[in-house]
Amino acid sequence: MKARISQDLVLGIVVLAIGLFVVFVWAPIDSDTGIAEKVRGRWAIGDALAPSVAGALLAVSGAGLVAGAWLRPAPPSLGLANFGFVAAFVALLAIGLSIMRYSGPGVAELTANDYRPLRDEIPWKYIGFVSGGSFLVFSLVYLVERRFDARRVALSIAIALILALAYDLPFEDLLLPPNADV
Amino acid sequence: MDVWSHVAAGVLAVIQGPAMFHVGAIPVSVTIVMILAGFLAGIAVGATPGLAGPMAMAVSLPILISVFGYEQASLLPVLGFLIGVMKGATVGGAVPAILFNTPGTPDALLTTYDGYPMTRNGQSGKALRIAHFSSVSGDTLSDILLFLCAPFLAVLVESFLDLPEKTALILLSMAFIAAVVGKSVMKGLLAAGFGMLVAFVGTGEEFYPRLSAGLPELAQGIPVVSAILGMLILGEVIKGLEDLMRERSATGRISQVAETGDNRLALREKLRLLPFIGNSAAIGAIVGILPGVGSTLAATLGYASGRRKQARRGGAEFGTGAPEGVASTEAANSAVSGANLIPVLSLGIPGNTAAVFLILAMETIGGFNPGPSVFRIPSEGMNEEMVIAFGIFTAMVIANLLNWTIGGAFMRWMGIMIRIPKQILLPSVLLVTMVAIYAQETSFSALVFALGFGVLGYFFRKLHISVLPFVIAFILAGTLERTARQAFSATGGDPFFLFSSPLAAILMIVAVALVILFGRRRMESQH
Repeated sequence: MKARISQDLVLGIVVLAIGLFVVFVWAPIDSDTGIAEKVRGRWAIGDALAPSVAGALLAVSGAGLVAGAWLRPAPPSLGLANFGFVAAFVALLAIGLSIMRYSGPGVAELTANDYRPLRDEIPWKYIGFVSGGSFLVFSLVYLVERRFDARRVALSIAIALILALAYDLPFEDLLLPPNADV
Repeated sequence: MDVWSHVAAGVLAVIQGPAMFHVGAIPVSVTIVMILAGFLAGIAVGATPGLAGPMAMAVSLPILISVFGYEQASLLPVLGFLIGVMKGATVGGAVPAILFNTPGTPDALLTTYDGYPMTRNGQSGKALRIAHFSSVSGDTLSDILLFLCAPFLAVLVESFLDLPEKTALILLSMAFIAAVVGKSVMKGLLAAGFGMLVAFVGTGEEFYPRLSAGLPELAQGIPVVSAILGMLILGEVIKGLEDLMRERSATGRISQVAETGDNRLALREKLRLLPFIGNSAAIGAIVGILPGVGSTLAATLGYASGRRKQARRGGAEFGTGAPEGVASTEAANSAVSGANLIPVLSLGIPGNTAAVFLILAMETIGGFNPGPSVFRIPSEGMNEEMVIAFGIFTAMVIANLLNWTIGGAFMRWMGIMIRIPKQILLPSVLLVTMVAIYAQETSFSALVFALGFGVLGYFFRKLHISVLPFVIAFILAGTLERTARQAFSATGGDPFFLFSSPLAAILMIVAVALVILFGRRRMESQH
């Protein structure tokens, strides 16, 4: 019996649950109109119909996966190691994005400046992108290679800097992250 | 105005459009420059293992829109670049397969079967020339089919399809893609369901943005560019990095066998390859018309058909370095790209990932709604959409001319791209993608959304769920709902409007039958 609890079975149950939740809870509660409504004496499709159809499609596919997995359990393609890798990736990206978002304003504050008026000035406009971007590139390379290499650090900084210049110099209206948010 | 006036206006819109610079006294149109830039970029991207044409289209689209803006005049330069990338990447994909036995895409795997043995025999130059000649021939034939079929199909659609039939046709296309892509029909439907659900967040006709849970971040809807680039690129980047981490073998040190003997491709040899190219190109073009059926199937069928032909003729066996093997594969997979645009231009339905980005460009910039109305000849004046359609055809012809003239030489130079280590390339792609998303959305929250979809895309890949039905359902969901609303109203609130006419009913029955048929076949094949 244990062998029948396959990955697709779990996926099917989760998708079936999401589909049913959308059809019976989320779509009806979180839409202004129902599946259909009468407007000036004529029936019209309401806002809840389309998400309900999507939810029904999910429920049907989930049920199909459950049935298929029950009949023919497949070997798993996802394990704890995969979740670990994704968690590491997300953590590194979150750190990189935080550096990108806050390093420019942080340096401005340290030097008793206001970042907003400076965000279109060199070197201020590059601080966030280059620091956060080079962290991202290096940390992901490190995640793969698992060794510290000063040349990789230099390469990561160079990649971020070249990208910043490649986008910023020819395109006047293009804003590098995070300069539209700060 | 007749058709020919529209054709002439379309050609002139490309050739005599706004000038980017002058060569002497001759102005060079910005669209032509963009086609050339896209084409060269496409070959470079295609020649880089780990990158693909749609990836480059995805990253460049938001940047192009930021640069050119949302005016109708931007359409041809932006589409010209994307078409250039699409065509360049198609020929470029053969480079790593032939030189280094490293297929950049699944269909290039078949190119390695005969291309790499040729390289080992010191005939890499000849193999690349065969791949280029076959690829461009297949692509050109496919484009001719597009130019001939799309307008006629559009006119037919316009004559026979009313609102219920159009709704049923969109549902049929989505069912077809969900059924034929990937290993499981149910997983295809799952992907399509998720795509639709995500597209409906924060939209609707009422004042309150549905499914937004009162959150301002969801009330504006999910940023299109975040969802699509997240699923297509970031998901692939995460999986690629994980695969590299497990392999730990991507050193970037690659050896190449030196060329020996005559590596030119003589006219006599080209003529000998033509039957194989013609056969495979026809297969690729027919496969390409069907939405969702990609170049991998075309390459497989073209290769199998070529092998049978070769066996009858008694030539070198496929898989041992037969030039006909390279020609059969490359002609078939390249013939898909033009034909894949037939459903785009005639119905407004994208059939593959590249077509998704062309449609996205059209929708984002505005002024061109792909579908039957594009080829409607007005009683007086010009149909601007028809002019743009012929402008797109002109851009494809120019890209083909570039391919015939400079494509081969540029393709052979691009062997150097394989030397970029993947563990450096993938984080760089991530950074480029982030800039592209930010360029269009100018909001950090769009990057966070993209990260979320990247993780979702990763899990889709790990669970063998194709992301294509997700992306296509996400793109078509708005049109589907709008058409359904209009059809429901037009039929006086008939809840069975999808079965209100014989044609609509047939389309719906075919959609259901496809899902059942493919579902049963997949189940049997898994036994």
